[in-house]
Amino acid sequence: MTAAEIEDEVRRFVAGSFLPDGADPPAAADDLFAVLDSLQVLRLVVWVEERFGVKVADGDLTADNLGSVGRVAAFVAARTG
Amino acid sequence: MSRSGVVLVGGAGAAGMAAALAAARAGAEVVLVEESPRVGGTVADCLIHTIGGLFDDAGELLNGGLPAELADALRRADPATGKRRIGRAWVLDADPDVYRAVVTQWLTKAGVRVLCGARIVRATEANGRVVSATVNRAGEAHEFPARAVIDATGTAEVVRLLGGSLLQPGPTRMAGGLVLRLRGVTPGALAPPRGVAVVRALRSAAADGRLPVECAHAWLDKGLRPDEVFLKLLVSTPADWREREAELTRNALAAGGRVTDFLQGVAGFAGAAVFRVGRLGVREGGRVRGEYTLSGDDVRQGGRFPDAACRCAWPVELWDARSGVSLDYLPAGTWYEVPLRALKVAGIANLWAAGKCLSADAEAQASARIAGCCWAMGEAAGRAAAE
Repeated sequence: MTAAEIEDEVRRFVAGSFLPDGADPPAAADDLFAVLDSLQVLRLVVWVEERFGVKVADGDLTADNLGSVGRVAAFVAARTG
Repeated sequence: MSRSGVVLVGGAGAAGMAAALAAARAGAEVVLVEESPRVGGTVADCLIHTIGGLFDDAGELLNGGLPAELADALRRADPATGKRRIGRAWVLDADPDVYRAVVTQWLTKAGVRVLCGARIVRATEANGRVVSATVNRAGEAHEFPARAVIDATGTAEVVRLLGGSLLQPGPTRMAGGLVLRLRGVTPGALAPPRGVAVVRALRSAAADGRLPVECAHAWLDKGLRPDEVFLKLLVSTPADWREREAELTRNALAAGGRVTDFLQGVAGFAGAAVFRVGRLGVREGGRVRGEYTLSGDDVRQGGRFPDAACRCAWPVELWDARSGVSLDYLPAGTWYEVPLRALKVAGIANLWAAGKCLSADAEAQASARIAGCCWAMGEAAGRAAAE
């Protein structure tokens, strides 16, 4: 799976799970923490772990790894690549 | 219709207070009967700091009248009040204490006679009307001739006095909730990314038995002040919850204590302490059989009715103690109407029900029971009862 494909899946999950119907899907660099609360970010983390088979440790719960769709995709790509 | 007698409202929560205010403003003599020591209902007593049901999915007010007045009054009373989007729905963040103060003042100003620590214990029916009702307060019985009676007890306590055939069949299945208001939390402790670790720590402690399993779906939310967090626990409400309310509350409080102790070991929560504990909240405990029964299909399809009482756009929100909350959002831009007939008890001319015990199936109730919609339903029922 390419980084672009991962990014696309993450974007679809975030838009489909948390954003209103018809809202613009988040751009790669949009700040997810501005629109999601911690419970929602945790749902994203649980989904990432299940979908991509990566472990997100407590130490990985940072804005660098999770703060945008692009960063989540980069994190996953680095762990699965 | 008889103009004599009082409009008797059972339950001083969102629907009951709105019904009492609307009836009083329409010129009726109103008696509002509340079992607990104070008015305010679920929002004030159970510590609901996010008032849902006031707005559509674009954040616009769904109803004018009292719900709009309420939003305005809460904003004026407390600058911390504010609109916020949670998921796909909008809520009004408001301090439950401020809410109680605002509504108490309204009731006084409107001339509503409020009887707290009181219960409607008997309703007498003749020729398809409730002719009188008896209220017990501090061991004394008071009988009121009834112009109309509005059951806004949330669990149909008044209607069930007249017989079980006036209630919808089927058991209660929705989990209840117990809310703890914590203070002394490090500001921002719940915000991502830090807050994600907090929520995950709670989940894993419940999964491996360090906390009761109900804590797995505990809901944590920021409060009105920077150092405040609201913690909502799910509580199973078995069919016999009425008899076991004290025990269920005790167990939930014990669980709440354990969660609080646990959180004190989590980053940002070392100084957290319980500031207030809510009453056990019951989301569903009996719905009446009305002239119309609002259905889940009406809700999802944005039902419209010629006798519309109000609008609602809240998702179908089902709570289960084991699996947590599930939110089934209405399609984008959709809202539905609650018909006045769903607030009118079938077969009894002057008996109404508004709020959580409206005439609805379980799915529709899981949407319409939200506080903002209860205000709107109560206002419509109060106005109709005073006509």
